[in-house]
Amino acid sequence: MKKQLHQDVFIGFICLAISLLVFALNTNLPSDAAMMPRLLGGMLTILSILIIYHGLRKSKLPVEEQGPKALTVDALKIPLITWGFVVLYYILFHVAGYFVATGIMIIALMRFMKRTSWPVIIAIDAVYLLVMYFAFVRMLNVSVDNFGMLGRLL
Amino acid sequence: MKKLISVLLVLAMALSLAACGSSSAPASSAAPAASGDASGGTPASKGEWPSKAITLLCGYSAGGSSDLGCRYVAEALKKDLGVPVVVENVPGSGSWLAWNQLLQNTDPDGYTFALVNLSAMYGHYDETNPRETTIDDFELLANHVIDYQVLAIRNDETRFTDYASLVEYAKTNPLILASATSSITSGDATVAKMLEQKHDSQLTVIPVDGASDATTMFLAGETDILSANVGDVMDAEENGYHPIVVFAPERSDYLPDVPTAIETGVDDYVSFSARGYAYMPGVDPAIVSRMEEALTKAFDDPDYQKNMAAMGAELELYTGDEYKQLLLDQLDTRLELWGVAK
Amino acid sequence: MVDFGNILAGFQTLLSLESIIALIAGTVGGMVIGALPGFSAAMGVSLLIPITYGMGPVAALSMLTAMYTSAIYGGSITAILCHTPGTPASAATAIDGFQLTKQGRGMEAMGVATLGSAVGGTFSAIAMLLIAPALGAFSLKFSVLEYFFLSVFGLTVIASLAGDSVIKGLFSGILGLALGCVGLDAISGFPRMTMGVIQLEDGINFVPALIGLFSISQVMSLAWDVYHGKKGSVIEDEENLKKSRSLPPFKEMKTLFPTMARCSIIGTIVGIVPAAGAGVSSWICYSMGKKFSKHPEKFGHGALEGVASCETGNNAATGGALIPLITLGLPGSSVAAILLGGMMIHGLTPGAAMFTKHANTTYAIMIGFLIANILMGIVGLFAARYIAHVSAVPMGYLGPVITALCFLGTFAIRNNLFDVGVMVVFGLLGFILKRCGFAAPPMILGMVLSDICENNWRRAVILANAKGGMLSYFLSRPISIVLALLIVVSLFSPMIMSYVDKKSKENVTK
Repeated sequence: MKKQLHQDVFIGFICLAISLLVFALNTNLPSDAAMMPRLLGGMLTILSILIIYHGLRKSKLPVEEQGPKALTVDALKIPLITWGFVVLYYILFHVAGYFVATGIMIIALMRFMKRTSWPVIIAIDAVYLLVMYFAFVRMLNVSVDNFGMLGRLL
Repeated sequence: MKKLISVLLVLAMALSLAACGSSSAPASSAAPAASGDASGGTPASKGEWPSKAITLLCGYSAGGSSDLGCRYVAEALKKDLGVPVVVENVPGSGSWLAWNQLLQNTDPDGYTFALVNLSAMYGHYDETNPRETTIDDFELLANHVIDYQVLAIRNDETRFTDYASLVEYAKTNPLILASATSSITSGDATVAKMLEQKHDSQLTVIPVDGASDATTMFLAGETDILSANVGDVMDAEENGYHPIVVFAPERSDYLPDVPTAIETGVDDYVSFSARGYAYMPGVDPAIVSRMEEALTKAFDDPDYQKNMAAMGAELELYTGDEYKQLLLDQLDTRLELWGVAK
Repeated sequence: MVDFGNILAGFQTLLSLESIIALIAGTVGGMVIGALPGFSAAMGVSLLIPITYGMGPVAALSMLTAMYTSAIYGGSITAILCHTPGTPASAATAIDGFQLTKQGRGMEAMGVATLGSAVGGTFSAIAMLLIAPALGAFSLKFSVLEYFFLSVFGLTVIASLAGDSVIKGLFSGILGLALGCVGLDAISGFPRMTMGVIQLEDGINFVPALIGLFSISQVMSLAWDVYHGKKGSVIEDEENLKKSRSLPPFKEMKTLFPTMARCSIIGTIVGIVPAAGAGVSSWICYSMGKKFSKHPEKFGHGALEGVASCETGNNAATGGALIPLITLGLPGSSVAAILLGGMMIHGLTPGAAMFTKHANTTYAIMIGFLIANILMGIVGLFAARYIAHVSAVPMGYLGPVITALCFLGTFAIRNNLFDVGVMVVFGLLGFILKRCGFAAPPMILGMVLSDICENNWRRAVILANAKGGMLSYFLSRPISIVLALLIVVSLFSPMIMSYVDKKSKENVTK
């Protein structure tokens, strides 16, 4: 039987990298400020090694007993694309302001999540934007109505 | 369909909240309204400044004394300028997020200004986290509030009773004092430094998160003396403590029985926090002077004075070069105490 | 100590149209704001303060305190139905609540959450009304060393939240502690792990992080469900909803009463302690609930007791936090700190004056708070039936709206796009953590408690050294000693329990 490295080994190494990063970011601090980060970095390192160790032990088990594989393309593709939408939304928020960005995002994401009824999509989008505009910009003076960077160019 | 209804139900509840809020009772004489509808002066016609709402950036969160001062001044400014002045809270990094936003992300069209205090000046000299910005990077408009520092002791304190006896006691007995932040930017930490240097006081300073934490520790008996500002100790007597000295050139109107350091003869230390307003550089000089004029008129507004007095904020108006000089004098004192070169 | 004359006078002061409307608006509005993901109690209260400028003090503060408690309750609604806690204090509720929803028992879970919240809030309101000054004096006995031990006690809860892998759970928690260190060091002022980014100087704001970890990552998971044939909404069968019960059967409810009673007391005390608020209270009560439960193995898989304990705990903390606020001007939680500003604006300086000069107003506000909690319970129980239908809304509609709300709510905290960015990053982080078997609650707990733990320890060291050394300082503080013992017992109780079990089994077989 081909021995497969359990994904925990891979994950464990990433954890180890994070632990070392915690150390690295705290080198030039006075000793009392650095105490806690270094202590935590140490504990994280120990735990990472334990994760790697357990991952190696699990690798020795037959594939069926290893448990569900979580880091496959199938498991990650759709959520990551969704996250891509969220990132684009953030950029759009920066550039064009909340209302334009949200207006576009709701339509795009609802379509991506397989909603087909255009009247419902548009209705939800419109009601949402109206209510939020009225509540936040008019009443509470939260400054989301500026048009971001784009607005400053106009 | 049902699903749509339930989503709309939620949104409708949000709408009803909005409606409820907007039907709240009209303003009582002491409190300002939240959002602007122009009243008083007529807004200038298009092309003239100001022709739309002005934003006041406040680097502290809603409800604090800095925020309140901003809202009161916004209300008063509206009367003279004829346009709404809207306070925008941008808290973080001790007001530096707001100042960075003013200096780096706003157009110098005169429609955005900010609350500034002495931290804007001291930040450059902070050894742990020096800022690139200095006070020269701001276009100072006017200062409204001067809040002098005080020292307070508990009513049942037996080891000393006034400033002179405190200083005497501290020469040979260690005392503990709490201070929000611990560097040159902190008024409390600087008072401690002054006592150490000028009077050989043996002080341990505990850094805490804010004035209310310092007061708590003091009330609980963990610290021996309290360093605070006049505005913080308005209700001291009711809570079992009293100020013994105020670091001002003259006695405070709010604390008429508390001697100044100068009067006690112990030293002549003067220290205060100053709250004023500024633009970023590059604003049209005509607009700058119009704004200065408006801030001066706001200062004299009786409602404004009443509101600020209720908060215990001492009003002293400084404009132009006098304003800058006021700040620079304090800078020299601090730099000397902390041993930092200019 | 109990002044019924004052209470009566306060009640009469409350009976004005303005105050009653404000109270109702605050209660209902708070539930809505609390429920909406991305909007927290802190945000609701701080945005509401300017609106209260035009009101009288009783109306204004009734509305604000009502909003505080009902927002903390409202957060449980979306926590249970969509695994997206409406407020940080409901993150613990999401763990068991969402499992119950998936089992088709969402409405029961909501009923339990409603009842628990109302019970906890009312208990703390009564405590406030009857013995506030005494409790205020009690809160003064807590200082830096006590805060340290309290936060360590909170941290011991991490192991019980770890889910399936204790090691990974610990890693998550300690990573959370490390993330909590980001920012300017409170004691020395040095920037730590900020990489020169000024927006990180105050640390990673944990509200955007929590919203990202729970809500944004949940939207990502929902997308996966949509593409893999799941029906399209959280629960499969909407018809079942109509037949669902609002509350579990009475026999089962009876078993929940001890938990609610316990967590009411614990929550009120945790709330009284400055620096620990509804969030910390909910975690501690969840862990306590698990320890005292007859079926601890159910926790995490849909235990009504889990929902009851954290919701009772977090609402009890709201009243608790108000006690030192009113009596000493010392906020018992971060939302209470915002309320402090609200009080000052209306000319109410907290302290002894509240019970002398302003006694009528103060008692009116406290009674208003009590009524708000009861009202919140009633409205919640009635509305649960309808609100539960949210779990039947197709995820394709729900997901984007949740995302839009999260963006708006996060931005509104500090008018700061950087916070929104933090939320986005933590969204990805939360999703990956879940996939790799790391639990998210320990990370949040670590982030929340990191500063409290470290800063107060270092302050305690400075203070103790000035007073003759840590050992003598520690021994002079009874509360610290009690807390330290509690921590030891809590850590070793599983071992002690199994030892006791073994011994009693041996005795039986003898």
